[in-house]
Amino acid sequence: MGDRIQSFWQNRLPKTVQKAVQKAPVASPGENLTAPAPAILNYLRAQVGKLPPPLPCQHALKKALAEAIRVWQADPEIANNSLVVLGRPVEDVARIIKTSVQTASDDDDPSAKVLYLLGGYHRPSDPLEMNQHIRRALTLQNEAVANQEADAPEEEAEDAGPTIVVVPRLEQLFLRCIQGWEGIEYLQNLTTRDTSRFWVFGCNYWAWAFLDRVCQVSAYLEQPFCLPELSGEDLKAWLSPVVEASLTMPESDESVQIEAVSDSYWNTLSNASSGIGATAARLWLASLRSREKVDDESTSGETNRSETGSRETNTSQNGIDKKRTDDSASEESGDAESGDEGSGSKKQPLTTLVTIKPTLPSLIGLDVMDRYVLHTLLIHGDMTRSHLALSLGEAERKIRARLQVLRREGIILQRGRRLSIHPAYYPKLYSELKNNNFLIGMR
Amino acid sequence: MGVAVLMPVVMAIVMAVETTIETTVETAPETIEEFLRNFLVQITTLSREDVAPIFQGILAVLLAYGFLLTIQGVATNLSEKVPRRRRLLIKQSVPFLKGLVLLGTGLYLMRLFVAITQSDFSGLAVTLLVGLGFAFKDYVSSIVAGIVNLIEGPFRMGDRVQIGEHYGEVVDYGLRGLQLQTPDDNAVTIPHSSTWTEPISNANSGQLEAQVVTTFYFAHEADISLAVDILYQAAYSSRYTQLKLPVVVIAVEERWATRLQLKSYPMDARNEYVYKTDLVLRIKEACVRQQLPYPQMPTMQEPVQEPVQELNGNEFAAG
Repeated sequence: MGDRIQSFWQNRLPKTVQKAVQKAPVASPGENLTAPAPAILNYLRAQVGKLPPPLPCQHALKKALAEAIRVWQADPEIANNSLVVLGRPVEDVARIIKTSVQTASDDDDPSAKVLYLLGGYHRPSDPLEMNQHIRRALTLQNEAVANQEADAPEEEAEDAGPTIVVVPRLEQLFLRCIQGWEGIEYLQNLTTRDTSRFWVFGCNYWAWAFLDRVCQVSAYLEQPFCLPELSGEDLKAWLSPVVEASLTMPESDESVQIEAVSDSYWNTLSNASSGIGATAARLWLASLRSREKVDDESTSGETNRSETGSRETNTSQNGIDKKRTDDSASEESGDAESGDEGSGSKKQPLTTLVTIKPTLPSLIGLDVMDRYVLHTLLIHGDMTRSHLALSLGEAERKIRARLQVLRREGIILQRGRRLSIHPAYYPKLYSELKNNNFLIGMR
Repeated sequence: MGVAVLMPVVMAIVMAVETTIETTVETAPETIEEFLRNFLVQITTLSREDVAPIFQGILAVLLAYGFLLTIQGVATNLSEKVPRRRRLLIKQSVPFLKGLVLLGTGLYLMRLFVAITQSDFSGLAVTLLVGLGFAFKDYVSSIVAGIVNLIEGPFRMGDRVQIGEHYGEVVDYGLRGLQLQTPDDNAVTIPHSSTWTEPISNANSGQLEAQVVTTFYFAHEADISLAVDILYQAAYSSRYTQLKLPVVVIAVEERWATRLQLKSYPMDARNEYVYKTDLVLRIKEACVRQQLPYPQMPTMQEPVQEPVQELNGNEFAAG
């Protein structure tokens, strides 16, 4: 027993400490790690947004789709004619479906006719109109298809492949209120009735769990497909076009270079983000730090501090975000640039970004109303404040204050009038709501 | 709690005084003045070993009291801060922790003051039983009922129970009685002994959810299938509803109306009343939209059967 304790103190503990310290980059003397300028982060965020959906998701979906269509075509009257693609509320399931279905039809079956139904649809101000909208959209689509078929030559009509109807965002077609999911009931009945077409639905787990309780949707659309979790390797491959490219900021001509990181970083990122692409991308951005040269004289004290232990350096890195405002960060990077120009160098200003250990942002203490708000947002994907209030059964003015707090904390994002959950907070919110007895969506 | 734990200390003091008196008597005092003088001498010459256990006993009682207050305070605060699922677990541990403290203190005091042989024990036990039986009959009955309730578990801390006329959440479980917090935010203390005879109705039995029954009345000419559908959807759409548990609507035909009972569970039994309010508001709004007729009040000449009252006063009748 005594030997084991001695061995722990002499061997394992120092190794553990060393390992923990090595994970975070250490600022060398004369350097300082600071939060990147907001312009750089915005630029990188935009670059990540332009990336195609992760390939493992596309491949898995294409494979599942091909198999489902094959089974359906073998016996259209009896076999299931739908596939439901399930993802987390923060994942862009619609985009993954669109890309995958398009490439699948281009590569595997060019004769397949892909029809998108209510792709960019958002709930109308009166949610009871949704049912009519769905019916109208289907009628219009059927008319358009009938016209196309009438105009097409006979040979082409004979060679026509399967018709695939894609409803990419099922969660946008209902609202949790009385008569709010009649459109879904209509769609699920139509899908089982119309066996001449193959239907692909996109939905998030939370909405699916809710719909399954209220209208037993899984009894009608009985073939769910869950998007895979991304491993560290998958994340590395997905983000590599941004990580490895030499980027130039469009407005300032500033070059941005991101230092390569080890595989263990990507594995940590995968674990922290629960394998969710959108969450991983946000955590990666949050883990970026700008490595800046600082004057020896002004920072001799800091150098000494960093020499006393890497642990302290790591702590100060984490504290940087709170001490520096975005404006001051921009000003400081501007100063650095002017300094370079003053020295007569004609090189482009270069910002080197390094990564620190990716961690989930901490969650504030949520009150009861916050949890209801967040649960409703997770079920509906994204929604306006008036729909949120209607679903909660509260007046808008009563939820406004809590929404403001949640927005200020960054848990809720607002794009235009639409509110949604920040992807980086999803894993913690999942645990929080699960521990508070909410119906949660899970794989 | 105080009386039960202080009893051994008081007994110890009494025993010390008795011993002193016996010693004083043994010296055969001739007058009362001499007796008192001898008694005072004996008292003042008590050795440190004689007095120390009394102080230790008092200290143990004070410490036990402090522990009990701490357990109650920490459990109450902590249970309101942790996720809902762990709230009841913390609350339910309070009576056991308190029991442990009391048992430990009692045993310590017994060891400190009572060095009894088997024959002494029989005599002491009989004396104690007779004395307690007369003096603290109700008190002992409550303590025993409290222990039996802990073992049998007809309710636990955090449960919503009805005992006699009182309904509320069990917020404290003491040695002598329990405390209910009623929906009107009153604290009602009920002695454990009353649970010997009073029926106990437990709404959630250690679970977070408790069934809520919401009653609605519709006119006979109303489209009842539509009304049933609205009631189901109201339950499914309420933010408070525990969707993992079943929702049921029961229709009962009365002479003057059709009565519909919506039975569903809120995620947290504490939300029972706000949940009902939310359901009623949603249902009324939908009924107005669908123009579902409510029943008319019957005239005096036409006596009708009174609807059965719900337990816990859970009656919410619209129309």
